Amino acid sequence: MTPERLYTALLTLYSKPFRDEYGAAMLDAFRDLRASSRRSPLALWRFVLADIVCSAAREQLDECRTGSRRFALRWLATCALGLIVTVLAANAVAWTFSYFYHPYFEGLTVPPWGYGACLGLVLGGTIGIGQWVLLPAQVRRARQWALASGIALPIAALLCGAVVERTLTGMKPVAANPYFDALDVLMRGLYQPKNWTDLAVQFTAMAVSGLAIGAITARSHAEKRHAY
Amino acid sequence: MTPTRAEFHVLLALMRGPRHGYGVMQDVEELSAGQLRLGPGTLYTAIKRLRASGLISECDADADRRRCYRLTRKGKSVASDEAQRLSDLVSEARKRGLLPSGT
Repeated sequence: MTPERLYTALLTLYSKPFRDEYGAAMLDAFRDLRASSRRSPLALWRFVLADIVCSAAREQLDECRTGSRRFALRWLATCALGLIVTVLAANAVAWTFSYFYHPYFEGLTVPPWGYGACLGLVLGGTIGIGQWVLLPAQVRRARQWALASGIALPIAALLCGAVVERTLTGMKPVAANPYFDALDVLMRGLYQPKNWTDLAVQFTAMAVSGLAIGAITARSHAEKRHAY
Repeated sequence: MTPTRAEFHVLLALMRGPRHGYGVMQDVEELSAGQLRLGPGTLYTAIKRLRASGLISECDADADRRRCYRLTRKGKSVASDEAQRLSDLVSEARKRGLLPSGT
């Protein structure tokens, strides 16, 4: 491998926009540096490697703070926030229900669509608020809002896989002892689907209500932008 | 904007006129009497930030068709402010006996 090729390979440590803008110029500068260097090749490479590692780390951090990654990280944060709040809310309801149990509630059942819709409302609402707070003004676009909410829901469904798996294979009574195992409680759902149809209905209702919230918040924001 | 050490040296190097990347690296080494050597990575990350802040701009490519950079008016002002700040700091250091007076 020639030194130029090795240097080009090392340039992948920088973000793509930076490489596209300055990669060729950096390679030129490296060639000149190598041609005029009075140092031994080992000393030259030690200098070049230290330079690349330090500057690439700084550049990547800059990119996270100011570039498109900033949006991606914040968007992921809103999804994670939405998921955590939803699971906690579901478990809080389950715990409240079991703690304040009364015979009056005997036989009370929640249909899968109702449960899914409630979860979707919580998830969509949390993501909407999270986006409002975390995403900077320049990326608050109506489409992005709806898209983020729409994409977050399948992610939430995937992350809830453990819950689904456990509910399908039979769980202990819902939130019987929420303090016993915090992780267990976190991963536990309120509704236990009896079959795949229930599950599908539940997640569809969750997606629809979550998207509805996303659309409403997007619209209200678009109107606010228009008003200004 | 307060430039970093490397950025300030790049601004100083460009005070002599437009330079391409390697020219800046050579000038910085000369300016600092070999104390500061910028590698291509440090140089171009500094150039990126300086361009984003409007302190330098790209000018027409030189005879070798290499990208050249020059100082903007804002860049000169920021470099001047930073030089003044450093000068004040040196004066203060002198007053406090860190440096011999009258040199």
